Parts: sequence; structure tokens; C-alpha cells
Amino acid sequence: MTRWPLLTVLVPLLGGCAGASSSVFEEARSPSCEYQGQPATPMIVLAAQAVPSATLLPCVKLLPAGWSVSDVFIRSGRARFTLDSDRAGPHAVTVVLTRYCDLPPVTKVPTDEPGTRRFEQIGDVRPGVGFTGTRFYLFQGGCVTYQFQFQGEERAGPIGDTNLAVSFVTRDEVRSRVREDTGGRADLDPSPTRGSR
Amino acid sequence: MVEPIRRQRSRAIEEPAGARERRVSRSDRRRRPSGEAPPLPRSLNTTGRYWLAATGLVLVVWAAALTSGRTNNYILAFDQTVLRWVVDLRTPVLTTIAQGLHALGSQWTIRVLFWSTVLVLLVVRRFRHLFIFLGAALIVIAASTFMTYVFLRPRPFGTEILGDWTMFADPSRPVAVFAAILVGMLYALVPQGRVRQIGKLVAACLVAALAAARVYLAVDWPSDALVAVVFGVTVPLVAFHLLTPYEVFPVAYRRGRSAHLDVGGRRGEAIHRALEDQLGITVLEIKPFGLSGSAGSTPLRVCAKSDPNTYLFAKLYSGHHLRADRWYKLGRTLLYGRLEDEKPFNNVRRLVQQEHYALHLLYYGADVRSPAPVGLVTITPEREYLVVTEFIEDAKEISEVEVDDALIDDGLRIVRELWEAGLAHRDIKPANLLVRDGKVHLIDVFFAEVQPTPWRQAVDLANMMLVLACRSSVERVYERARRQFSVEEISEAFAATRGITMPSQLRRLMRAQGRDMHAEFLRLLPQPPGRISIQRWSLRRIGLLAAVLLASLLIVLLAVFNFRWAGLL
Repeated sequence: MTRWPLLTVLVPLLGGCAGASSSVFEEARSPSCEYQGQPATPMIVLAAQAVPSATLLPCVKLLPAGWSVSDVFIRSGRARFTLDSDRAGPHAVTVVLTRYCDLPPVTKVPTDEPGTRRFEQIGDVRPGVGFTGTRFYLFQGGCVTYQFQFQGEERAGPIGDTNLAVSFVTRDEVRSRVREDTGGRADLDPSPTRGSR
Repeated sequence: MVEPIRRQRSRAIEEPAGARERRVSRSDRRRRPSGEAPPLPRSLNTTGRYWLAATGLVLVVWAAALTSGRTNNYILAFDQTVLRWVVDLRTPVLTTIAQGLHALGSQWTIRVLFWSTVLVLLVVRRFRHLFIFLGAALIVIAASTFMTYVFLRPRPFGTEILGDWTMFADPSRPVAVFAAILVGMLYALVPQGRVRQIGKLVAACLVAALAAARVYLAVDWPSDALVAVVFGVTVPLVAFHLLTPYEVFPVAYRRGRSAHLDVGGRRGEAIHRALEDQLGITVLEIKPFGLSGSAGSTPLRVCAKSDPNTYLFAKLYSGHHLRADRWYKLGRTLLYGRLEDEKPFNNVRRLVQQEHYALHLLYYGADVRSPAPVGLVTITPEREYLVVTEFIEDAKEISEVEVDDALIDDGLRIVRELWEAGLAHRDIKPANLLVRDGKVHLIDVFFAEVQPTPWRQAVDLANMMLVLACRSSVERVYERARRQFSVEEISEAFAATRGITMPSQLRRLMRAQGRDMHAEFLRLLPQPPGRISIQRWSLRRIGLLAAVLLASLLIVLLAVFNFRWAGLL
């Protein structure tokens, strides 16, 4: 019996803490192109470490209404985040950064991101069911894949939203951010004289 | 010398004088002064305190790092200095070795260690250790993951990272989980002693090797690996020390009921001291006694110094028994509704108070031939107590003697006396009916109830008749019962009794004899009684069922979610 009062105090407290901190958490955990007025969030720094050769890093520039970042996962060699849409459905766009891409039969199209080459692959368009497709951005030291999986018939709107939402930051910008955050004590990448052995 | 408690009977019960006149020599009792430790204090050992202090330090540093940029800079400076020094040691051979050691923290290594431990604990039915192992692993996984999301600390800067990693660095989750699982394995699987000490050394070497390899490969910052070791060791260490202390739940690979506590070592010494201080009894020997007939406590036979030396009976109760009683009552409530008072006890003190009170009530109040209460002894306040009673020497279980008419009458008279005193024993079975010098003694009064329902009293009668019939005949018991009970009372008894209301030992005994004595008694009745349902449906029972199902589902989902997150599934 004596535990119940404790629980009744603890549960709202924990809930309150979780609620209060959730917005801060979300902001910091988001792979945003800007965070607190500076380029790149800790997630983007981590993505840069995951693919050390990548000169460009995908990030979320501006989320249109109805879109949200749902899943961020970064491990050595690969960084991934997913965008959900209230119209195009959950996991509507999955953005993946890797060192290399295996390109299927694709069509080269004019790029909208400086320093990249862009390719498109139309997967499947079924009226009333949805749309799947893949976009590739190739650049020095890396490859970014957008996997589209839209539910419903609308296609142009979500793709336009994605173009607005996802952009790139340069590795140099991330490098500057790291130097600034560490008071000039640390560099993102190894100096040319300190490689592996 | 203090005289033992003597029974003040309202009327004489014919029994041999020698049996009742035996005395236990008692010296002065000693009151424990305020502030003095109880006989068996519950505490962490020195190592546990060091780990707890280290965790406290980590928490302070974390809090400082979250609130102060300067602390972060100090940590970064420390990490970079150590990391540079370690990275300067890199050679192709050392790198190959480090990459091999890095596999210690891989998902597959963790999975194999984790699931093999779970499997062994299931096979040896050490469920308490299993739950603490699972709980500690879950806490380490969840908390270390949560902290990585709080700190958002990137991997080491300025150095080529030579190993695989996932998400943020602080604390190093693979090191924390690996350490937690190794410590959990040591405390759940390895008996205390030399083997565990060797195991600790091996575990320390393995964890240190993994941490060092990850720093060498620049997968972790040095401080992240260090913090992970502290956290991963402390959580299971403290959990096992506090929730499965060796004295209460020893890790042993011998047969025996898990309900029984080890009465050697520190606990044995504590019991000796407690009996001497609190009851003034000089103890010569304490031995487990009749373990097979007891599941709710640890029964002991205490040899007390006297002239001649005298035996006492003691039942050791702990929080373990309290929880077992709670689960038993919850199970009965879920399966049958409220058969009787299924309200669980709040704490161990209440539980032993109930037994102590019942002993007094039966011995002094109801004139039922039962063991004389000697006293209550505190071993660890609120956690462990000893209920001490007279030991009925030279007695045999009723299932081991020939039951004649006199014994039948005596057994039935006990039920009549219980009825007249407004009591029910609620656990009448062969193990609780001892025979000495042609008289039946009723023992183990833990379940006894004051002012029970008529249904519960009727069940006592039927169970007594069934026990007596096991060693005589149904017809004979029925015929003798008719001298003390009316046909209506006997009919009610057999209408109320079936299945769960018969103790499992009694059911086993009847099965072994290949007889359905319940049906035989029914056939002897002038007319078959109507059945009294033992299923009680109520909103409380339905709500409880729903709550238990929901809680089970949530626990499974939480465990699966966390285990998947940690790569254990």
C-alpha cells in the first residue's frame, strides 16, 4: 500500500519530464540542415562519421505541413532517415546515405542539387494503389538514395514536398560546426598525417 | 532462568504427561538497543558500495556535462589525450587483435550469452534469478540507449574509426550490455565461492579487453567505455545483491524446493544469535526438517540446550514466502474467484503475526491438540522472521499409521472443536496430522481462519474424513462420523468439497490408492447432496483477469521491443 502514493507522484513526474523534454529531444534528434542557427545537428555530424568519404550529407531543410521525420538510424557505413506524410502515408520517403550505390537501370535527369548527378527510376505506378520509385544523387565520396513509397493516387504533390524538405549540407560546413562546438579542439576528420595503421 | 510458556487449558486433554512437561531452559532475553544492527542485516558488501559510488560519480559528471560546457571541454580534452596515446600504439597486428576482441560486443556474442543464460535459468527453475537477470539487462539496455539520446555524443573525432558502430557513443552500449550480461551470468549461474571469484576475474578481463579494443579502434571515446563499464557492472551487481542475497537465495545445483532458504553461513549464525537474544534459548543445532511437506516456509528443527536437550520446531518466513503467498492467492482468485479470504498480506511481519496468533488461538483458545507456541524471532526486520513452536517428538504422519476407531474419533473431534471455537484450519491433509501415543495433533496453522464461512468449515470436515479413510475404510469413517456429526452436516461437507478444495497431498494419496473416496462417501449418504459451486464470478475477478492479461501483454511487448532494440532478438 505504501508504494502507491510514491507511484502516483513518480508517474506524473516521469510523464511530465518526458513531455517537457520531448520537443528538445525531437529537435536535436532530427537530421536537420540547421540547428540553433548553425548548420547540421548532432545527427548530421554522426552521419558524416558514418560515411567519412561523403562530401555532401542529406538533411531535412524544411518540413512542409503534414510531414514528419519518423525514423533515424545511423551506423558505420550507412545513415538513414524516413519521412512520414499524412497524405502519402507512413515511410513515404526513405533517405539513405552510403559510400556507393548499385545503380539499376535508371534515367539521368538534370540535378537540382549543386555538385551532384541525379538519376531517377520509376518503380511502379498503379492507379488507386500508390507509387513507388527511387531517386539517386551521386557525388564525390557518396551516394544518397530517396525511396518513394506513396499511398494513394497523388504523386506530384508529395514529390514536390520532398524536394522542398530534403536538401544537403557540405562536409566542410559540418567540419566547421564541429570545430566551433569543441572550441577548436577537435576536427571531424583525421588530419592527413594521422591515418590508420 | 525464565520459565517456558505453559499452556493454561480450560479443560484437561488426556495426553501423556512426559510429552507436555518437557521444558526448554531459557536464559535472560536481551533487548536489541536502538541503532544496533539486527541479527541478519541486509546490506551491500564493500565491492557493491564501490560500484554504487562509481555510478554516483558518473551521474554527477553526466549532470555537470549536461549543464556546463566547461565540463564537456574537460571530458573532451581527457578523451582526446588518451585516444591520441592509444591510437599512436596502432600496429597491423594490434589492429587485427583489437578487431577480433571487438567481436565480444557483437550482437551475436551478446545473443548467445544472453539466451543461453535464460535457458539455463529456465531449466534449473531459478525464476527469481531469471527475472532479475532479465530486468537488469533491460534496465542497462534501456537506460544506456536513453542516455545516448540525451548526450548525442558523436564518435571520436580526428581519428580513423576502424570498427563497426551504431548511433551515438556515450555510454558505449555494447560494453555496458556485455558487462551487465557477464555480471548477471556470474550472479545467476555461478555458486558463490572460489569459482565465482575466478569468474569475476575472467569477466573483468573480457570487459576490459572489449573496452580497450573499442577505444583502440576509435569506436568509443575512453570516457564512454569507462562509464559503460561502471553502469553495466553496477546495475546487475546491486540488483542481485539486494534482491537475491546469497544468504537468502544461494546459487546451488542441488535438488530441493526453491521456497526453502539456506540456513547455513551468515543466516545460520544469525538464527543462533537471534534465538539466544530474543527467546533466551541456547541453540545446539539447527537443521532443515520436513522440507518435502512444506512449500510456504522453511521448516527447521532446533535442538535447544536443556536437561535433557529439547527439540523445538521453527518456521522461517521471508519476503520470498510473502510473495509466494501473494501469487498463490492471486492464482486462486483468478481461477476460482474468492473462495475464501484471498486478501494477501502486506508484509512478512503481518504474515508471521497471523501464524503466531493462530497458534495461540488453537492452543489456548480452542483446546485443539496443536503445538504450543514458543515465540516469534526477528532475523531481519520486515524481511525475515522465525515462528518457534513446540516440536512434537516421536510423532508419525497419519498416513504412516494404522487408523483405528479411537484415532478416527480423535480426528473428527478436532473438527468439532474447531467448529465450536468458530475456526477453520483450511489445510487438513496427512502432512498436517501427526499421531503420537494414539492421539492426533493438528499442525501448520498458517491458513487458520477466525469466523470462517460455513462452507469452509464443511470442507475441513470432508478433508478430515477423507484423510482418515485413506488408512481405514470409508464405511468405518462414515459410521464413526455419524456419532459426532449429523447426516446434513456430512452431506454439506461432501457437497462443498471437490477438486481444488482438497489439498494436493490428499489428492495424490487417493490417486495412489486408485480410489475415488469422495464418490464412495457420497454413495453412503441417504441422498446425494446438491453441488456447491466453487466458482465465484464478480466484477473484481473479471477486472483482475483483464488487468493480468493486459499487464502480461505489456511486459512481453516491452521486453520484445527492448530486446529487439538491443539486437538480442
